[in-house]
Amino acid sequence: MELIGFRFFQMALISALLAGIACGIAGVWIVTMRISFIGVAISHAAFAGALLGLILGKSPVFFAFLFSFLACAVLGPLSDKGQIHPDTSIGIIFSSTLGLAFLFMGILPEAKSQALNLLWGSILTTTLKDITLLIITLILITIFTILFFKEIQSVIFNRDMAKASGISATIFFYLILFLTGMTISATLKSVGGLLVFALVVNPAASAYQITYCLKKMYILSSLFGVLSGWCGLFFSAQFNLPAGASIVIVSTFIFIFSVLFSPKRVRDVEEQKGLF
Amino acid sequence: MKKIKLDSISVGYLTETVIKNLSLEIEEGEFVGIFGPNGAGKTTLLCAINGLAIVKKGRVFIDSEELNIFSENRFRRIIGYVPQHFNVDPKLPVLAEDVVYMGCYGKIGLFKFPGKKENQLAYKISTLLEIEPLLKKPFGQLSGGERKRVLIARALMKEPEILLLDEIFAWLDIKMMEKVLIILKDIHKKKHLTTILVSHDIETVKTLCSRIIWMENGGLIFDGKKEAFLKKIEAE
Repeated sequence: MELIGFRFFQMALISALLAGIACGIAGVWIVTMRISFIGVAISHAAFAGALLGLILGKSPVFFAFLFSFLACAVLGPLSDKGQIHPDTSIGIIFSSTLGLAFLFMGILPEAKSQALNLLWGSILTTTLKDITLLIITLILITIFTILFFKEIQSVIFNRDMAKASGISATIFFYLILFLTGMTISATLKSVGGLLVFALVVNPAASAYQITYCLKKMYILSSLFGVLSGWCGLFFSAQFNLPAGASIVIVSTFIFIFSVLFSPKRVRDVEEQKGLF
Repeated sequence: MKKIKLDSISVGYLTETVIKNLSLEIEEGEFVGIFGPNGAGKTTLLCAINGLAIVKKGRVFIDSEELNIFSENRFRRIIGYVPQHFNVDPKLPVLAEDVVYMGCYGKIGLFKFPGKKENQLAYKISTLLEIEPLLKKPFGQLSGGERKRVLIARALMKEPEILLLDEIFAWLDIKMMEKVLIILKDIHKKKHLTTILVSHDIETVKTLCSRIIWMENGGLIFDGKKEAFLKKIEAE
């Protein structure tokens, strides 16, 4: 507990708070629209971009943004109206970005530790710049969610039906992908390229087990995201474990508990028994 | 109440063309029934009118304005559409009430939320279709018939000028089917909506529609008044 007095730990706690909320919100979109595979591909693209940034001696975060946006620009149309089945084309993008990431790691001349930090995450070295980036991302994603709640809800429900209502569903779908890419890029340093996606999916998937109300799902998902971050940090400090991995493991345990004690699951079982 | 004109359209999806070179005019306030076997192109025709299917050739006009990428959202806001199939994850956090309100989201516009007018309309429609007890239930957990009624309410929420109804009587029990028939007749009489009803059940088409279109293999087999259609059937 004495760690709380240290500035680096305070910064890590703030980072976990901001990343938890942002990933929690983006996770709701990914989980309810069932586009987890697209999200994984975006997170790997962001990781590959960050590594390219390191090779070129430029900002890894900027290149992570750039690559994740490019991935969204390719993945959006593929999932919408590709000639090949979306699962196949997204699988190819996913494996390609992962291949690129490892290629960049291989040719990275120096500073391998920086690359490993991006891979595993280094929340304990969070800087003021990282926090600022997370704040900007969180503000954008929150404003978008509040202002366009009804449009996002319609797109989540069914994209074709949203179109039939006169909503520009395709534009909103792309905005959702881009903001997810932005969230992943901003969180990359804290949790790491390999694990960031678990922080997007796990809290939202946990909230999905609990509520039928979309507003409550946003809140629960963000709460679980923050809880994962803070508990993960605590376990990491207490047992000298890698912080990123600890955060993801905690989020997985939250998911397991939410499945076991899900009111929806209880209802399903009762329905099967004819009790409901 | 709008007029619909389809000018030599070929419609389909990515690799498939379902409707080939079809021309059709539907006058404002007409109640048209489209009848035909599975795969005839009935649903695709409705999707061409609200811009959900790809019109590969030809043009679609609502009144005298062409439906295109610039005008489609404006037209969709006055077209009520009830789809044939609708599968939703039973756990999806969307209530039946949300689905009803979604009908007017496009019409309300960006940065605005449903107000008193929309609440009153939702109450009126829900009472009419007897869906008030369902409103707080997750949409994914409703039965097929209940979903259909919620989707009809959704289509009516935008106070449409054109109504596209795709197999709306599938899943409905006899009592509810009769009730929906009366509601549709009443709405059509009062609001003079241009209505297109797709069905593979000739009895419902005969009951509701003044004009009948018979489709097969993406083309028209018959298009005329109900009486002429009945004579044709009798002759055959």
